[in-house]
Amino acid sequence: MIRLTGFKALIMGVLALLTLIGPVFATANAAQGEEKILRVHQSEPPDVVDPQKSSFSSEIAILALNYEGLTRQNDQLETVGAAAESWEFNEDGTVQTFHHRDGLTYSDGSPLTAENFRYAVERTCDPNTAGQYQSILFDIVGCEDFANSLTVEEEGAATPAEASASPAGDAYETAKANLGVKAIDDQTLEITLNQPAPYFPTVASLWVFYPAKQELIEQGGENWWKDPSLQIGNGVFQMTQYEEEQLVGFTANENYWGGRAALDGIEYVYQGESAVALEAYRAGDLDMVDLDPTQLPAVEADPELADQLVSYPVAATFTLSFNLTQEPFTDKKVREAFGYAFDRETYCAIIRSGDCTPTLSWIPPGLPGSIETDAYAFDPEAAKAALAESSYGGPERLPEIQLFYSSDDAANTARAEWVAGQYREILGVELTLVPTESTALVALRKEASTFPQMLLVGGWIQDYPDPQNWLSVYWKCEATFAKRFGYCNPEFDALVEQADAEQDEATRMELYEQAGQILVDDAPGPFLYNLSNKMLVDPSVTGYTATVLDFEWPGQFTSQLTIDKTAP
Amino acid sequence: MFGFVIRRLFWIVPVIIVVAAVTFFLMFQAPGGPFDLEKPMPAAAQATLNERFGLDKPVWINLNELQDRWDDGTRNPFLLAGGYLDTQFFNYLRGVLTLDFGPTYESRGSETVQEVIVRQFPISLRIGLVGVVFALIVGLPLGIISALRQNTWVDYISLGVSTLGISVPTFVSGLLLLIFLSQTFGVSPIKRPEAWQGLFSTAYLLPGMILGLGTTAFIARLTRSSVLEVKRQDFVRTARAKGVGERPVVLRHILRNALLPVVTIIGPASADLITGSIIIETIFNAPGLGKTFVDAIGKRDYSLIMGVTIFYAVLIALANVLVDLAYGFLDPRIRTRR
Repeated sequence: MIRLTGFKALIMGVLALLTLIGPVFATANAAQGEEKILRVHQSEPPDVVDPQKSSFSSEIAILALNYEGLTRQNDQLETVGAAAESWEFNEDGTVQTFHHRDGLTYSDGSPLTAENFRYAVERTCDPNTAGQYQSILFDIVGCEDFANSLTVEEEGAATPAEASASPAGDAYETAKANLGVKAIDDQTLEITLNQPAPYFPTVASLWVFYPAKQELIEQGGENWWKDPSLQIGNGVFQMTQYEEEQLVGFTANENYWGGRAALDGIEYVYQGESAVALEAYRAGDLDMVDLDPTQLPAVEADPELADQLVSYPVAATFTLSFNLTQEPFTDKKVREAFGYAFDRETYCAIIRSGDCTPTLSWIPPGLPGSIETDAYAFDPEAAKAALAESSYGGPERLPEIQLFYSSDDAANTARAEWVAGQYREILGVELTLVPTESTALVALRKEASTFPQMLLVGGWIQDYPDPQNWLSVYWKCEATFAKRFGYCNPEFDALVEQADAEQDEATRMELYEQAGQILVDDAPGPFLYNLSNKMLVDPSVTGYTATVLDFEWPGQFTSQLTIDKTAP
Repeated sequence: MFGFVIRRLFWIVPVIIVVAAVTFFLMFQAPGGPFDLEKPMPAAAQATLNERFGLDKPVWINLNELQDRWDDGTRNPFLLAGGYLDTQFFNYLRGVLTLDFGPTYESRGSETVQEVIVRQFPISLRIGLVGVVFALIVGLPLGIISALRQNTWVDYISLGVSTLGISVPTFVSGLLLLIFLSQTFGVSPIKRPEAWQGLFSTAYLLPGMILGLGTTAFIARLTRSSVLEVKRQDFVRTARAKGVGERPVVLRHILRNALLPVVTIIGPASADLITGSIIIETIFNAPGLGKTFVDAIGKRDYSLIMGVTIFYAVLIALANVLVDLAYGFLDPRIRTRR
């Protein structure tokens, strides 16, 4: 008797639980209304959503909807007016004046003035902000001094709080007052630069210039950015919902100077597991999904999904990285051999499932300053010859070579093994694979003495579309990045320094192209590929143009007003 | 009894200090720090942040500060010792005693660890509790029935299901179930953030149940073997011989004795489920503490790693105290021995 009862109870229990699962899912679809809301999948939730502190592309994707800088880029990647209508340099190119549009307001209708932008610059340079992108404004007079004004040299250094009460605090106040940015009147902002910087209008489009309101930041304290009512912006959209690690919601800004967006709103939905995001897309709960390379073969094999796959290159170049201060990569012939022996076509098409396009130069095609070259293209014979010509004479006398890669992404192991296999077959070189946790790897990469002998993924993700950002910021002898692995070519430096200050645009680009050629000739580490974004986009989404700037989703920067969605 | 509880609770303190010290040691063994990011930070900004987070101080002991205070003419041994211990570790312990776990690094100090725990732990707790309840209401009857009907088809099915439950990891079962439900019923696997807010929200059911699968299987196996063992004991045969009905034999004689080992593991298993929903939280996008904890390790968010470790350690220690107390109620022999 009792056994039967127990068994019955069990079956009843299981049935009861199953009936409970149904409603759990039914609720998800109910939230849709008539409004045109674009729902974009994001894999990585933000750490900090503060214009003067953020640094990740997922964070900037939020800020760029909510705010707008002095300038912006159009879909031809030209720098055009945003909050500023026009700008000019003085004669020697060191003072830049921005003229704002008439009647600019924030999304809540309150006036937006030059003072708000002045504050953004000041807050970026302020040592107490300690933002990661502070140095991007070091072209401004006094910004670097202000940023360093709290570092007290003597031993027994005070805390920032104590410092502001001591003589060092005067250094802080003095440096703050000496900062080369002035609001001449409500509509005029004047910025004084250390040297001519013709690329500066492009820099003025960056998130560090986004005019978050001083009084709201101060009102909200350290946590201000989590409260949408304090993130009052001047962008095409206005953040209205912030749910930690879950969702960030925006509605169209009715007060935007360029008119109202076609969409009623945008939602960023955070989902770290891409398989789940893909299911949500199939179920119609996401309009754009960021695919993991490992999902691409399955998606391409699905006739319906393959039609909805959108692929476009983004402004990022990846390389194999060598430590140029360590044997054997001090020998240029060895580097050439490793460049010739890399089959970029196969690597992109097969090993990376097509999420990249091969390249042989540094600046991606389509960007100002990019060059075309066929130097060091895949050629096994040339590779063997180069290695034979090297000071080692061949693979036998090479020292042990360690190939480091980040073990956080499981797919990297297969990639590293393929690369090692290629070098074994073509050059007869045996690489030792060193999987390393990514933060540990970043720590190793901080200086040349610890920089990995050979690194699977090196490269650059663009901050702004100007060759200065690609060349001078990364490859100059004194640049943090070049110093890490020991690249230094005075001839290159002379060219880019001349270019950085050159006020004639055509000459400037020509100089950068020459510098880019030097880079190719020096073969610091094989240039491998430009990354492509592979996204699924629902057919109901229209009116967007994908540009290389759109790291997170197609149309994120230049299509904000026009992107639309037909009723489901 | 009261003294016992107090004694057990008191012992948690040294355990926590050891846990804190070991975690601190391991944490600083891992290469890289919280501000080692892809793009380098200006040195001054880094210095400011190090100072704000106390990272400019020595990790364990501060000989410089001791020397400085001595040179300044301080002779008070307490103040001198205070200088000696003005280090990252001891300042941290002092914070823990006052329930201040410090600011998190990933928010650049805009949020404290206790705020993160208060916001996110309830989510993990609810998922874990659903898992525990599910494991008990399914695992226990499953184990009992298969033991009472040993070597019948019921037993074999239960065995198969439990083996599956133990061997299939949650990220497989969770994903499969989500995909199955989504493709069969066309419902989205992504929930609105509001779904996680209600105390009894249905959003917790599915992740909780999947999380509890392994424990369910484990409890079923344990109950089965335990009931089988007790079933053959002399006192059961005696009870039957005396003509006691089947129901009282099972309920009073067999179950009461067979459930003791099950109770033993409920404590640790509950703590495990409540603190172990990392993968489930990622799959279901639940804003719980587990995911945050794992991310914190990658980001070298020292204060968050320490805070959550200590918080979890206290939870697990408390769960064990509760199990010890439950023993006393269930088994009189243990009670008298104390």
